[in-house]
Amino acid sequence: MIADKEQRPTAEELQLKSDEQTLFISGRIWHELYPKADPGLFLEALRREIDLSKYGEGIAKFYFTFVIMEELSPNFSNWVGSDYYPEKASIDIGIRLPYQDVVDGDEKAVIKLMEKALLEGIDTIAEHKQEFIAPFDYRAFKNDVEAIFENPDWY
Amino acid sequence: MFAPPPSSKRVTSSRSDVQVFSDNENGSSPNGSKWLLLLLLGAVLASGYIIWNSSKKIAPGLIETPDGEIVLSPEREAKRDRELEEIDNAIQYALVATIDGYYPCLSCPFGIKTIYLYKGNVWKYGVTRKGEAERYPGGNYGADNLLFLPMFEGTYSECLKREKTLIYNYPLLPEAIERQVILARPPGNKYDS
Repeated sequence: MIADKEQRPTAEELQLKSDEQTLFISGRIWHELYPKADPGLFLEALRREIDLSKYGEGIAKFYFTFVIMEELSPNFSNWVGSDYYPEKASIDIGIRLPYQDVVDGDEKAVIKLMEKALLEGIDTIAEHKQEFIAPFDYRAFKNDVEAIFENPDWY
Repeated sequence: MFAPPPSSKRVTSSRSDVQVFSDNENGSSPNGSKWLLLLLLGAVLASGYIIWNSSKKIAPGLIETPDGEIVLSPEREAKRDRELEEIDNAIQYALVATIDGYYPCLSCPFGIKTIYLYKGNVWKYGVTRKGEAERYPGGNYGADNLLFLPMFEGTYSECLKREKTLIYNYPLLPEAIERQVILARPPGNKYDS
């Protein structure tokens, strides 16, 4: 629906809200595997439970992408990897999940694969510690994310 | 009071690190050397130009082999192959809402700029031939909280046809028909292509 005017934010308000966000969890997922693989669950849980500023100013924006594709031609190979951007203090991580395991797995198994991928992605932050513009305690960040996943009812 | 005449000899100031010279050491005029230098520079430039003009000029990206054959540089060959591959390996995708909430609306009529989407609703259909510079390009999708769902892999032309069909058929989707204002295109597609 297009909501009533009173309720609807303006484009500027929407942009402001977006600028305030620090955690971005998305995906590049073959359409047949959505919503079986659902990054929205992770986005909502992390935004609810994690305050990124608590770990330091070295990372102000955390972008994470689940990549679930059977094949990735060379021109799309840069969907996977880990990059730090000092000018924005942002990190951009893409982790590929084993396609067949996602196809074969049930919802619970797929969530486990996604949890593993996200934690693996957080581990890549260590590769960039020399470039950080300020300290960032990535170990504490990972511990807190792990703690979320330890609760079997987190999603 | 008259100032003393300028000395033609080397004068050292009282500070040991500053030296002032009025003439050169052997007393010859500096103008002569200057002209000689200029003449020499001119000669070097002229001979350089003659040599450059007489040899074969090769545009950047081409190289001449020891046998005199002109071939593409390895970088240019790689660029060509990459571009050919991009034409063969395109992806037609949908950007869908990751969570319920407001999203920018580029196709809404009546000056409406934002739209409420439910999780999984289409925001945009598109085609890409290569990976973006950044994996999740900080909102360069056009809005936050979007999920990139590849729907078809094929040649660029095939993907464009699919994209166009999906854009035109969007108003017939249940999620579009349910709205009070039925959009002609997905909210993220400002144009028909």
